[in-house]
Amino acid sequence: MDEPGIAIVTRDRFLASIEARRGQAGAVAATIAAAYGIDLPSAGRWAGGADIAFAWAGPGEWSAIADRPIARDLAGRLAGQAAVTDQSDGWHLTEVSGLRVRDTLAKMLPIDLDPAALPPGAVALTRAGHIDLRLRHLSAGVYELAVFRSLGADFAGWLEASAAEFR
Amino acid sequence: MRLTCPHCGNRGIEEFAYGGDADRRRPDGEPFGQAWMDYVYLRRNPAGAHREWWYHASGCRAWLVVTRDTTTHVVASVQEVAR
Amino acid sequence: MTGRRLATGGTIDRARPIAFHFDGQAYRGFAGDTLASALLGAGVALVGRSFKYHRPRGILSAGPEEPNALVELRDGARREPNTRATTVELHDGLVATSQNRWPSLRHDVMAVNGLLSPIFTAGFYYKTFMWPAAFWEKVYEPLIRRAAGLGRAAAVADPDHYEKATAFCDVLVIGAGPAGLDAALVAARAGDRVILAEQDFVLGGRLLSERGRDPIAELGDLPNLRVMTRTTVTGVYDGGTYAAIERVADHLAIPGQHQPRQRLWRLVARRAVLAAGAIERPLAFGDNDRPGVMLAGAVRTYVNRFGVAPGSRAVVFANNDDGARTVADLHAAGIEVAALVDPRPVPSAATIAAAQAANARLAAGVSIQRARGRLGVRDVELSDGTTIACDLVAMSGGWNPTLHLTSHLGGKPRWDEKIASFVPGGLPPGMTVVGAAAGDFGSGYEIAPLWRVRGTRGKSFVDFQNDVTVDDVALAAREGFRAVEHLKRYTTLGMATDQGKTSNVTGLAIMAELTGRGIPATGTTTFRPPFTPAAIGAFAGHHRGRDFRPTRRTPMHGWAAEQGAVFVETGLWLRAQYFLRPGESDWLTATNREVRAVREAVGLCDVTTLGKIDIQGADAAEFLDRVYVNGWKTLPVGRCRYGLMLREDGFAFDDGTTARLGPEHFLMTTTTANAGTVWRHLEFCRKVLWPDLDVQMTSVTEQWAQVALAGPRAPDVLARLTDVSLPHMGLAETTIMDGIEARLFRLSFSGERAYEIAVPARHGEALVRRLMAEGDAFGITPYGLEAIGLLRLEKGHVVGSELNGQTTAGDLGLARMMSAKKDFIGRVMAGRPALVDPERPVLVGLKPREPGAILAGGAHLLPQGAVATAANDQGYVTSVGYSPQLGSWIALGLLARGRERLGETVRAYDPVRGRDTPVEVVSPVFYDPEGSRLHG
Ligand SMILES: [Zn+2]
Repeated sequence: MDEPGIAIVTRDRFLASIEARRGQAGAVAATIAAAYGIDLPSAGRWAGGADIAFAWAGPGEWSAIADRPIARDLAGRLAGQAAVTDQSDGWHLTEVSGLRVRDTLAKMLPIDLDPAALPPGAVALTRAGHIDLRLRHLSAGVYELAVFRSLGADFAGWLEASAAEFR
Repeated sequence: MRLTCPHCGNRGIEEFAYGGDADRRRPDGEPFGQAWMDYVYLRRNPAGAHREWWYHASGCRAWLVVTRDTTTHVVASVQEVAR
Repeated sequence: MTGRRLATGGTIDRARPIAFHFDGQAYRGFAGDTLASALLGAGVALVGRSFKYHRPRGILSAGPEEPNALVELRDGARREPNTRATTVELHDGLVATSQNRWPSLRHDVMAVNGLLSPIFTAGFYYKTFMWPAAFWEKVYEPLIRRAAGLGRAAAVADPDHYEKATAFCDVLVIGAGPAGLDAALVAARAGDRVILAEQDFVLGGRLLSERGRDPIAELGDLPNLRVMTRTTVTGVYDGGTYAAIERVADHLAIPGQHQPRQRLWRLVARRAVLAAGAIERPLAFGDNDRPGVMLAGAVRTYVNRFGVAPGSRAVVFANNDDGARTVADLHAAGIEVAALVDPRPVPSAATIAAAQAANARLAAGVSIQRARGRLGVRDVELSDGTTIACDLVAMSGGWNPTLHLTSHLGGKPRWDEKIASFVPGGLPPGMTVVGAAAGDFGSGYEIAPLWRVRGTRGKSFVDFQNDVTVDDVALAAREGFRAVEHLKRYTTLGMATDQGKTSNVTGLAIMAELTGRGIPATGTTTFRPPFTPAAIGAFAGHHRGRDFRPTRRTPMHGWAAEQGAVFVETGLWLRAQYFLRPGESDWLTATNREVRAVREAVGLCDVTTLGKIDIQGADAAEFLDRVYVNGWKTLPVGRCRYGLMLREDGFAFDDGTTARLGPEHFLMTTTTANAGTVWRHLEFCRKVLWPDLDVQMTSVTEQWAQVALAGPRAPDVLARLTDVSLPHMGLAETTIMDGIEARLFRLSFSGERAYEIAVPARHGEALVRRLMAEGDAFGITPYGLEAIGLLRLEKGHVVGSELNGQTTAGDLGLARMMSAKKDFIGRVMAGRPALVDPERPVLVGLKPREPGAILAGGAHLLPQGAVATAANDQGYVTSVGYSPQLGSWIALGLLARGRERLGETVRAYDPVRGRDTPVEVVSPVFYDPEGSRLHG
């Protein structure tokens, strides 16, 4: 079957925010590497897989994205090293892909989506109109978009409208 | 206008919030007087280079010190506030 | 039906005829036509009436600079006024209507304005309609609107949709003429990401218009070259940002399904190459606006690109060598050229040769004095006294580089004597200009400036769209409006929708001539975005109507809607204002019922929208000490405390309760309205002011759904979910409903026993449904913002109306909260004399003296018997509501020395609603002042 112009799927994942305590970023990285075998990514990157991934979320901050509850485990391991907060219910996650995915996203996002500028493995913290948004380039042409849960319905409507001509 | 965030790269101004003159210092410990009035109310308004705070509100949420020419909007530098 | 269509030539597709309507009449053009070329091809020369004088007008140009041929495009809801026929791509079913004429184009009653022209000269608005002022709106303006004007906008909402989009490139090339195509190819072959934007629907620019030039070099299939036709770059902004309008579906009668009509692009480019070409200047001679008088370059475009003969017998009038080229092209197309009129005493060799070859009379050192013929040119009178019959005048006063975009960031164009034109001066960072836009008109370009023909009769138009003549410019000069900005405003030169593309330089040059100052000393012309008119819809994009701004909904939104909630926008959030029960029709009935339920039984309210900030770190308590007026280090784990924040200037900022979840872990709540502002403020505090503190912050507003349960039966309902019992201001982390993580708070703003229950957002709806079911036996009732407002008002709790940015902690009766043992944001400034002035208005309760009297927010508080003047103003009413418990309207207000005046009667003076109500000054706590219900 031909690749669709655009495919939009809503995802349910378990999320946690991690913010290193003052001067503890190195310790946090060591703990994560030891516990999950993942090197905490640097600015603008994410690392890991579908079961668990860590995405850069600002200086000294990361999001954990997992297929199972993760916040409690992380909080335990990172006690004294980082503030960990469960965010599993705070975000509306959408996965978009398809031949025209970048044409669709160009209508919403003010960032350079060219794979040279934003390759798979990249993270962008940005906004869609007045909606703050976190983007992960999962694999070539497949993007995960996260917006606050309360804006999910509104965002989904706009995404649908932007994608409509490519359906 | 665009700013190059040291963490996120070159972004449009709509992602940032202006924070004003980055050279003012809170007069910690001083009693009420001219220093406090100046800190709260007095702003330089130079025609030319201006150091100013910007918050990357829709991005990495870093506070940045931007040196901008107020007459041309040419940005000479963007640095993170020392942490 | 072939009209003036040539048998061969051009890039139109003669095999694809296209049917269209103009002024109700059916015509045919061909694929590749513009509306203008199709009209000329069909023999239609008269296409519009002018703005002020209603003079008959034809097509002047062949591009976006067109000042005359403005039409209403499409009809009904899609009607678009003032569209330039020269840029409208012909399509099947196109409907266009001439504008500014009544009853018809050929017979326009308002043409009488031409006879009244003495009153319509420059400055006529200022001189004629000076007084009486009342006449302006009622008489003058409607009169002028009817007499002088442009097209009509559609009277109903635009049914099409618009979009905005962003694109990035290394090089943006603006214009796909010869210079732009070259630049795009060179950059793309060098590996740059290139966007080539062309306003036309085909590439080529002047290549399409000039004989013997290949329309287009093959661009090839370069993946890094993005070609955007029908796309006009309209503005240059800081940081390499460009705005462009892409007319996605303007060449279709109705856009395809889901297709936007237009798309507003934000193009971000490291570099830009401006290759926008040049715009030809008309010559100012008598009645130079007659249909059939066209720009010479446009004549060549119609002949060479569209295969149209704009006339059958032409006179070419040019002060530069484009005259020769025009003569040659007309001759080659088989159109008779009666004369080449060249004001230069000694024409160039090329000019002489061209006239000879075309067998045209060469009138050297001569000018056209006047064109004659009312609805179309019939002949021209020359300055040598001869008259030449013709139906086409091709004029060229030289060319102006299309440098508009170079001045959008303040660049000043520079006068170049050699080409008698402005060329780009200072450029926007990253922009280079090439080709004709840079003033490069080729080596053969010679010009002898001629701005106006002297001693003419009839009107010599400079600005065709705004009907500004040489005489108007002269009048401005005589009356002292000599600076270019004055000239513009006094005569309206260059202020029409074409922004003076064909007129600014000529007007300026005539002023320079009249004042003897020279052009550079007279001024320069600068331009602002947009380069061509843009639809407002394109700027709104998706964000109109319901989508004007994003809407935030809580997880309980659907449940609330089911319960009859009437929602209100608070910030971006939709919150239930009140819940209409069957049979209820007004907010007050519903609110009274909800308030009574809370006071007598139990109410349930969605408080998810309150800002929630998770604060952790070794210095978390110290941080709170510094941002709140009160102290936090002594707050035990498992307890909440009410906190007040000031701004650094000493005024109250925000309030809310903060709970201690652990020794180094707090959960702060903010008001819904200030959540974003407080967040940014705290970020500034921790990252800029005190980077040495160990504090981590995360917003958890979205993570937790939160429900307030208030009323004497609240403990009974809660007991159905948990056996946890909490002290006042207590907090517990537990699980409810088969293992759902929950946070329970015992907090009250209503003065009743009350709890707040927070669960992860996905469980919010299940929680309210469960609480409603469990509470049914106790009379549980959902309540909304109106009830919240009244409940807190009865208890004297301040909200946004009192925390209005002009009140201090002292004004609000909260001075005791301010700790003297520590520094905090706003402490020093809150102590300055003006903020501790005993005369300041302070928070009081207000109750009408007469039962049943209604109070309204904003009413001023005046002493009894005092005249209603600002000097006697002692404060104002901030919040009002009807208290069903007290059976009276009650209010909070700010009153000078209010706390000393309990029992006194003042007046709530409300001139807006015509009320003047005696009110008693009372304690702000109207209900249960002892607080017995809270603990009972
Ligand atoms: Zn950033």
